[in-house]
Amino acid sequence: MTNNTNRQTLGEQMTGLAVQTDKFKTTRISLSFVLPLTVTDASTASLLAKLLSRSTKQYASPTLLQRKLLSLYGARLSSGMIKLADHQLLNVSITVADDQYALNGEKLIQEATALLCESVFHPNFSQSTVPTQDLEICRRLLIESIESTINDKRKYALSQMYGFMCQDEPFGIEIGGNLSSAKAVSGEQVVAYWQAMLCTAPIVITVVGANDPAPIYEQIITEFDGINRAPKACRQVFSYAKPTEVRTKVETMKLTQGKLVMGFRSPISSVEQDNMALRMMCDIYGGAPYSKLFTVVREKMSLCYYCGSRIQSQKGFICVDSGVDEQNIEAAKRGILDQLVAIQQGDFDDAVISAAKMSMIDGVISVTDSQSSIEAWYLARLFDRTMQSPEEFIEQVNRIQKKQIVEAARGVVLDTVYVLKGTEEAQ
Amino acid sequence: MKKELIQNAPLNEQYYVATHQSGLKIYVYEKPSFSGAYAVFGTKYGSVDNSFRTDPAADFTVVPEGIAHFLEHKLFESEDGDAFARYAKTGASANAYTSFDRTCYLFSCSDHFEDSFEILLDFVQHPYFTQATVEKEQGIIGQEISMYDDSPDWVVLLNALSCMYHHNPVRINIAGTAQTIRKIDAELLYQCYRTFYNLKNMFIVVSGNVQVDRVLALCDQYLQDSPAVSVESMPYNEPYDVVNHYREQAMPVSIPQFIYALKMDTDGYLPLRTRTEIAMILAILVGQQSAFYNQLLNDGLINKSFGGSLFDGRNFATIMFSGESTDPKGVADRIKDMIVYAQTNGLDPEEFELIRRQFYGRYLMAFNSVENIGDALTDCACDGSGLFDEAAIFQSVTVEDLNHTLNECFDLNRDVLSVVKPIC
Repeated sequence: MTNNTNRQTLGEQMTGLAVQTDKFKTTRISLSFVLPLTVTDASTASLLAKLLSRSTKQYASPTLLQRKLLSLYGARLSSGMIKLADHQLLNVSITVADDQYALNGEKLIQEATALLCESVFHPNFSQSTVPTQDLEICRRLLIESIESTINDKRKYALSQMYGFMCQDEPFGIEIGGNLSSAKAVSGEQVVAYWQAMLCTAPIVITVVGANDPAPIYEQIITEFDGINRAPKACRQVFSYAKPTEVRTKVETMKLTQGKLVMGFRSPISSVEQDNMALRMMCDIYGGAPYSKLFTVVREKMSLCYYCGSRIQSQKGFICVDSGVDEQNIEAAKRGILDQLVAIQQGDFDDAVISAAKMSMIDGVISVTDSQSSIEAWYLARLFDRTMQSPEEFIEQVNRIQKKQIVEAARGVVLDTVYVLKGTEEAQ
Repeated sequence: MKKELIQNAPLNEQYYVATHQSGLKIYVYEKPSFSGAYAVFGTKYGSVDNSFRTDPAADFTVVPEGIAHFLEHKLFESEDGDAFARYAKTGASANAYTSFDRTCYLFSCSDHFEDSFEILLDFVQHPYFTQATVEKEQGIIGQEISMYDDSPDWVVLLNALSCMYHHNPVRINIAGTAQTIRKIDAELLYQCYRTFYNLKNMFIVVSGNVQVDRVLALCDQYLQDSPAVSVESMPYNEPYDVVNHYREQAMPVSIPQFIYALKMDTDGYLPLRTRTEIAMILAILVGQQSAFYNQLLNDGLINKSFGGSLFDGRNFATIMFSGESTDPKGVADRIKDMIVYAQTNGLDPEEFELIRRQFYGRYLMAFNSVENIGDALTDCACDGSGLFDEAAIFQSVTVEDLNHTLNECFDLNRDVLSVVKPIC
């Protein structure tokens, strides 16, 4: 790993994060705004994100904007929302070929940065509202996107489980909000939200590529000249209450394979402390083919096609999801819980720990081979007690011992079970 | 082993192709600035290869649908455990897939490449099937089939293909069905293995932080030559017409999903030039900059999932427009009108030049990832093209060439509309 990472403060609540590397033929530049997550805000922010990459003042229709991107050798401009614990990030990014590959000597990085700024700072809004046609098209896209959660049954089951488990926490809110909030947002609210975001939201500017980030930062910062910045810090607070009972929700749908999703809580959050032992526990539990869930529940018990676990670092959650026949749901649930108990009792050997370490290290190193993964790595750690680099992560992985993994596992308690059953008709 | 260097000087990119004594081709793309490496050991054997013979005098053997995919699952097992357990000691992330026309075993890693590569070369060449392990796998694959049965994306595609083709085996589900996989036994798996996993029918692709000479030395050390097998597929006569022009199925979806597709003919793979030209035509006609795309978006007929693509492989090719819409038939009608208009009036030369620029930029971006490079070389290994050939095509192609291909390949008489609609 030879990436040169530089993190610097560019202003109050404005961070520049640059990873300089010459392994790519493109440069990726992004602006991320850190925002609170409420149902209304979720819809407003999602609508705003869609509008920002639809058109701008200068390129006042999608056709004009897309043609401009084509002229920049197919540069990719995208905007979207990222859920980060109890907050959301509005992210606008552009990826463009480096200047040396321009066929006619164009200054591609400079032009792409200008287009990114045009998108974020000069959207196609009037003083106080959004053109009705743009707003309504984006609203339809948002509503269809919310409704389409049901199309992917695995994602749907996961989202239903977290929605049920975190009813009283912002984390339970879906990106985009719900149908009624999406229908209710007005053009005036979107513009007011955008203006407030530019003034108050903490901002992270990331640059990944071969270029010196300084001129790019400067080009972006200049855009704030006319904006009265009064940023408000966004902090993630971790609170933990041990679940006292398991809550269960069952839904029925016309499908052939059932879904079982189990949500666990632990008192370990990356917001407050190093959580590497919990990460490794999650990997040994169901993160890879050597894990308990894969080798026992899938391979030995032959109960499901997939059965894996994943961690939500800031919230201290472990989630297990599986695709399983309805008649096997109870057996799978027992198998999944038995494997947790096995880890809590230290029933795993050094070979598995070594495999988990190698796999986690391998995975982290590969992050450095992708511009979007590098950016996502750092954004995912905005609320962590320490923003680890991949190198620091690896050092920490190597220090973990079995007793720490067992200790972390013992804090993991089942909170919620979500079951999606097929109807008899479908089966 | 002799190796040939293939270069693209303007992009400063290059790779090697070597041929093992067995006839197996090895593609190596060194990317020393990257941390990771990616390797694929594949065979030109997929779900379409379900009727074959190796002796011209013998009858054709028809094997159960889904057997290529089943074999892929089982090949990871050996007498002393499975390949995943061995990969666990190297840290590599391993996987495999079976498509309509190939089966590939792959891994990516950031360290211990040679150990992982040795595992790959070893387990793919050492099948071990027993009736007991075959029966255990039937449960797991049965679950996988159920999962795909619930996937509207997959259902809408399979329905489109079954509407389009009378006999072409691409109409068959890759994983088979719960019924067909029950007919699979260890002996059948061995028979398919012996037929299609001979080195002459296989290929190796490696990209990333590796050294070509080490890769070739390891191949020399671990590849076990076997007599070449000559495989003949059972011939079939695929009519010009489609089976049905329309098919719908109800599933739990929020909004109808659709594929509007146009059948094409191909003997083997479509030439790369034709594929590139079709991709450019689709970008001009329905790309996000196109008037058509934005008009349909404004009219509430499509969302961002809409797009056009070429779905092709060995002996099959269709042009597909897919997406979500409250009115799939309305979208299909608009697509037909748009194609007729373009065929009559020709493509816009200015739009064509913009798309040419886009293709150049996207081509550059593909070199940002060792996995992308490896997958692109896998395509090259199957269809015989070169990785840098596409650049020469989109740089030299003219709008007249595209207009010719638009009129030749976009045949509206051979159209199919597949819809997955919400359950009422």
